[in-house]
Amino acid sequence: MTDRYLNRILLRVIVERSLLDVGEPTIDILENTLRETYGCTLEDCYDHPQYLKDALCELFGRAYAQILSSIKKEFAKVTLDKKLESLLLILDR
Amino acid sequence: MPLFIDGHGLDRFSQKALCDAVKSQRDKHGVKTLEFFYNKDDNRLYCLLDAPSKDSVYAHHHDIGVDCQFVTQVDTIKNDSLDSEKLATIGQMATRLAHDIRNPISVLNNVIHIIDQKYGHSLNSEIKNYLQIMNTAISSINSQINNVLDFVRINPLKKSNTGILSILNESMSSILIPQNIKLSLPDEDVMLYADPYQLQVVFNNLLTNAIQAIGEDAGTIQIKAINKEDKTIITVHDSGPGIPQDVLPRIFDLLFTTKQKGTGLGLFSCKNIIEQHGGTIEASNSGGALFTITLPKETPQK
Repeated sequence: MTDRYLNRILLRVIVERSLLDVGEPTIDILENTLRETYGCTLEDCYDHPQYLKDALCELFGRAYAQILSSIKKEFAKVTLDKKLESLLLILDR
Repeated sequence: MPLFIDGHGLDRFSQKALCDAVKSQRDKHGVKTLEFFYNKDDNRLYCLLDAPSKDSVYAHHHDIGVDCQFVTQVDTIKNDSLDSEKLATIGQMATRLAHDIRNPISVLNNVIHIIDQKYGHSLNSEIKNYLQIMNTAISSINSQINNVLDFVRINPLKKSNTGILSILNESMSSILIPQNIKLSLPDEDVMLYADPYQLQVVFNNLLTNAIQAIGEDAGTIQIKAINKEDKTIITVHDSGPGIPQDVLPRIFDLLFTTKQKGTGLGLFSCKNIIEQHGGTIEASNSGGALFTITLPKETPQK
């Protein structure tokens, strides 16, 4: 398993967990939005973090801050590569 | 046992006989041959031996019909710089390994959490039990990884005014307190000027040790904090079996552990952190293990 593959999966599970933790069991809706609007999967957002930010903001509006806080809390427990560091900066912008 | 070097003629010894001698156990004089060296110019054999005394070396050779030309006691000169280099390399490898393991472990941890959140209501008790077992195993790995990372992290203290209760609450949020253990916190908050994150590491270690010491029996962990004139004293007291007397003097030593899965880093890190704060940490027994942390009272620098 490469670091890249693992970190793509990590991104997926952390986003899904964060949505569940803030009471938004809506990973399917997020995935549909990403597929229909950007033609990508949630894992692909590892390379295109802006798509993830835009989709989360569009779908969850004000709840975005809470979701972001949960995502950051989970990412604080792992080792970040450059892509994940940049992803967090973009989500936080 | 002391080391000796002796020299004598090669005599009738074949290479096989010498190899067998190195492999053999101590003889009746307590002598063990460690290594042979041969100088072909003077056809002399030099032996490195682990033996109780010079006389025992002579007796050993007498038994095999050899007269030693000399026997001398020697000492090993330890190359400390090499040892520290090796330790540093091992430290770097351990850190890298800990970092590498963190992400796959986090994937597992998050997947279990998702399964529990999404499907928990429809899972039967057996599957829930398996998930719980996986969770416990993951927590155990995480705890060991954090021990390694806490040990190698050399961060300057980031002190701030902080209450002991908030530090303890943060520590407890990452530890699963079993239902058989009653944890009591200080009645009143005590303010400290300290690095809250580093103190969380200390309490994480002490609480984890206390929980493991109590095991599955019913037990208590009492944390008290009091302010004295120029210091704050915090005690963590568990109702477990206590620390064996022979272990007590070494309990804060690096790499010392009595646990099958211990790293021997946890209490060493605790001591380092407390000493960085200018304080002390002591372990004793008082109907269970009692850890006493003394921190000097400090006021924030302006």
